[in-house]
This record gives sequence, C-alpha cells and structure tokens, in this order.
Amino acid sequence: MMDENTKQQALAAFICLAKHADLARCAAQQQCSPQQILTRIDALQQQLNCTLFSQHNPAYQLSSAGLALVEQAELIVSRYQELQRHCRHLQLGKSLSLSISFQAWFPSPWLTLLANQLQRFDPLLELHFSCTSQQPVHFSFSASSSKQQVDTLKWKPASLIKVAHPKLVNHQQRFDGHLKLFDVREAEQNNLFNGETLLLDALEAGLGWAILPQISVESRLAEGILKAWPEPSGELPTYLHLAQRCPDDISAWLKQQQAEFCD
Amino acid sequence: MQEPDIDLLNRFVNAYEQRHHYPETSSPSSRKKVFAALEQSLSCKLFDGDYSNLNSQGQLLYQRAKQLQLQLDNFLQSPLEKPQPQQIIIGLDEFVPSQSLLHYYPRFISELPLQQLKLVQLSSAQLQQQLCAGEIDIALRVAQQQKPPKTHSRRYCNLNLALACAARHSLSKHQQLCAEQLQRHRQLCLNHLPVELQLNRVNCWQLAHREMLHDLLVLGMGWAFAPRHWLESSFRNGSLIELHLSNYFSPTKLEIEILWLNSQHDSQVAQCLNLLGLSAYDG
Repeated sequence: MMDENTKQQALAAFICLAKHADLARCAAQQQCSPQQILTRIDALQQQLNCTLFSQHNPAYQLSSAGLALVEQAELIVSRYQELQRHCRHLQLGKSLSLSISFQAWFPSPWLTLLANQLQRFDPLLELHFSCTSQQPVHFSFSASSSKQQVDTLKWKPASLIKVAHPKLVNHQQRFDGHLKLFDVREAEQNNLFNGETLLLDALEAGLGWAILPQISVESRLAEGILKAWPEPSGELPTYLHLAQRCPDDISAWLKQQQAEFCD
Repeated sequence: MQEPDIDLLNRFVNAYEQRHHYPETSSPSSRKKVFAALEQSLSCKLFDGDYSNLNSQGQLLYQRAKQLQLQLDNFLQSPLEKPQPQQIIIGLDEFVPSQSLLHYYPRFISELPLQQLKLVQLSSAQLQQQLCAGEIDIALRVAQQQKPPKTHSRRYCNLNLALACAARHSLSKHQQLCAEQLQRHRQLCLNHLPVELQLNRVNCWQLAHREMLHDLLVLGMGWAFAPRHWLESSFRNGSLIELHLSNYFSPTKLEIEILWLNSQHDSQVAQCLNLLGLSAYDG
C-alpha cells in the first residue's frame, strides 16, 4: 500500500508526465530524479492495476486507461493543494468562510463588488450571502441593530431615483400616485409585489414606478429597459454592522474598506 | 332645449320595474303619470300603446338609465358595506420565472374581480412554513421530492438550465468539459439550487439573489447552473459563454411546481390556479 504522501507524489508525477510527455522536464518540475518519477508512476500503475502510458513510440503518450484517469487525478491534486492552503490558513488563524447578510434592497452591485474584493483579499474564502437573519457582517439602511455587541459603521449613501418603464416616463400620467409600486424609504408598507427581482420584473413589465437606489438599476437604465425621472429623489444612508464575533482579519479588512469609501 | 331631468329618469326606471311587482308599491295610474311626463319632457314615444311595454327606443333609454343607477348605487355604497376585497397571495422562490407571471398580471386582475393579487418572494423554508400556516394561498417553487403535509401539488413549468461562465474564465477555453474540470473552479449557486446541481460542495459561494449571481458570473468569479432565460442576453452580448459537460449526466431542466393546501376550498383561489396554468412558461 502507498501512504498518502506517496500517493500525492505519484499523482503529481502522473499529471506532469502526461502534460509534457518528457521525463527530464517532469523530473525538473517535480524536483526529483527521472528514476524517482518512473518509480512513482510504477507504484501508481500497480495500485490501479493498469498501464497509464502507452508502451509504443512516441514515448509517454497516455494510454486509454491513462486518458480516462488524468482529469480525476488533476482534480485530486488541486483538491490536495486547496486542502494544504486550508490547513495553512487554519494555522495562521485566518478565516475560511464568511456569512454576509443584507437588508432587502441593499444594492446588490455593492455586494458583488465586495465579493470580488474579498476574493482578492483571500481566494480561499467561502462566501455565503443571505437576505434573512443578521449575520456577523450585515448591511442595512438603518443605524440601529437588532443585536448586542455590534459595531455600526457608515457605508456609502445610496442615491435614490424614481424609475419606470420608458413608456410611463415619456407620457404624462394622470393618476401617477396609483402607479406607485414601491418606495425603498418606506419598505415596510404592504406592497403588491414583494421581493427585489420580482419588483424589477414588474417595473420592466410597465406595471408602475418605484423609488429605488440608483445603483440597483444602473444596468437597466443603461440598456434603456427602465428610465428615470430627471428629478432626484434624495439619498438613503447605508450602514455596515460588524458583530464582535466577526473574525478579526475580516473585520480589520472591512474597516479599512469602509475608511476608503468615506474619504 | 329642456335639460333631461335625472330625477324623472330615475323615477321612470323604478316605476317600470314595479310593473309586475307584488304587492304593489305604486298604483298603475301614478306610474302612467311618470311615463307620460317623461315622454313629454323628451317629446318622443317610449311605450307601445297603453304604457305596458317599452318600444325599442324606450328599451335603450331604460338600459342606459338603469346602468347609471346601478353604477351610482355602487359608487355611493359606504365603504363599510362594500365587500372587502379579498387578497390572494402567491409566494414564489427566486427561480420562478416572474416575468411571464407578471406578463399575465393584467389578465389575472381582470378575471379575478374584487381580488387583490399579491406576489411575494420568499426563501424555500419560508414558503413552506407560510403555506402551511395559511399566510399564503399558493406557493410556486423549485420542485422537491419532499412535499409539505396536507398539500396538493402540480407541475407549473420547466425551466431550461444552462451551464455558464464568463468569456474570460479559464473554463471557457474547453470545448468539452468533464465534471472534474468543473469542480476545480468555484461554483456560484443560488440558495435554493437543488442539491443534485451543486456539483462543487467544497468551493461554492451561496448567493441570495439572481442579480448577484449574474454579476459575479460576468466578473469571472466562478461558474453556475442557472435558468437559461436569465443568461440569454449575456450569451448574446458575449460576456458569458455556455459550457457543455461531457461525462456527467446533469438535468437540463428545472421543474417549478405549484403547491396549495388541500383544505383550500376558495373558488377564487381555484380560478387563480387555473389562470396560473395559462401563464406557465416553458423555456
């Protein structure tokens, strides 16, 4: 039987040789002698009870069995590397997953941007976004928090606009007030269409108008699917609530982001 | 010319309807007086002979005056006496193709008079809980093996799924992909994606909302299974490309089901269920 370490080495040797079909180069990459590479591959072949490379010329072409296995091997190797990075993270006390919650209508492009930056901050971080309960990192429109021991920081203010299907904006509507579907400033009210993407679809279908953060509908405005009234509708402050149980590294990073926004 | 006397017209409608009324609330002679007065004020004939039957001209006038009376009555009815508009609440999860549902919205409200139709987006767990508690009348969700107790269900529609990544993502270079290659990259999934479509259990971002899914896909943060109609325009403008899996069977359709309580006996809700059948969108 091979131990775990030799298994990994053998798989790495197999992939490397399959990729380059060149023993010397493979050995250089794996930082071992060509002989060791061959031993590892032999061990693997014995374990799998098949030949991974064809015996004919040109040398080191994958056999059909090898072809069938190479992708799986690659996956295992990359999973192994992930696992190693994961362990290193644990040793360094870094966080590996983060749950972020947000109040309905918190502009999703900002969350997308945040996810993008978090992935650059740490590619291994697993993100979980939800709209329901308050998580260690929570974004909302109100400064008050339902939980204790929470740091509340100001985030970017969201500028609001009144938007609708272009046909509603282009013509003067006589009963404009009745076409109101939603106003993000009074989100608690009873609305016919409750739900963010649902409301956006209702707007696109021309069923009425709504007052929303501009950034939430920016791409639709650019494509001409929705149109805004020229008068501005004010701003809504947004807040970041950082619970004390939020991991220190993430919390420090978020505070740094927040300071950059506020400048 | 003399202004038509609304009061007289009103009395005409009432008197005409009392012709065969028993017990009599007005005498035949007083009715005749009203009819004659009306004919005189309009200077035309409305009745045949002895004021027992309207002529065609009179019929038209009667219908119009009656209509006005009804509408006025309706309008003047105090709000307390008016039947409260009933509300039908339909809960949806994020996958339900709301565009097609909304396309039918005007038809829904015209065929379900006195009903307020309210649509609510909920998470999968909330949907089930609120349906059982009777807070929503109808639930539309991604079909699941496990049905909540005491409910009926039926297929609403099938959504075509597409496997996609950004054009600049490294996966996009492969003509044919195997599941192993896919699993080496992050999967982006919406929170209630069926488990059999969550191919990458260890490297996966859970998202609450389809706009984020789309934006992160375009940014190249991973790959995703999603209903084709969400991605169609990005496929067309080239920011996303479709991937094809070669060695793994993956369902290409996502079924959306309608759930309602089997104790639901409201005829309006039944009508609404029928209309939902019409609005179903397979795509």
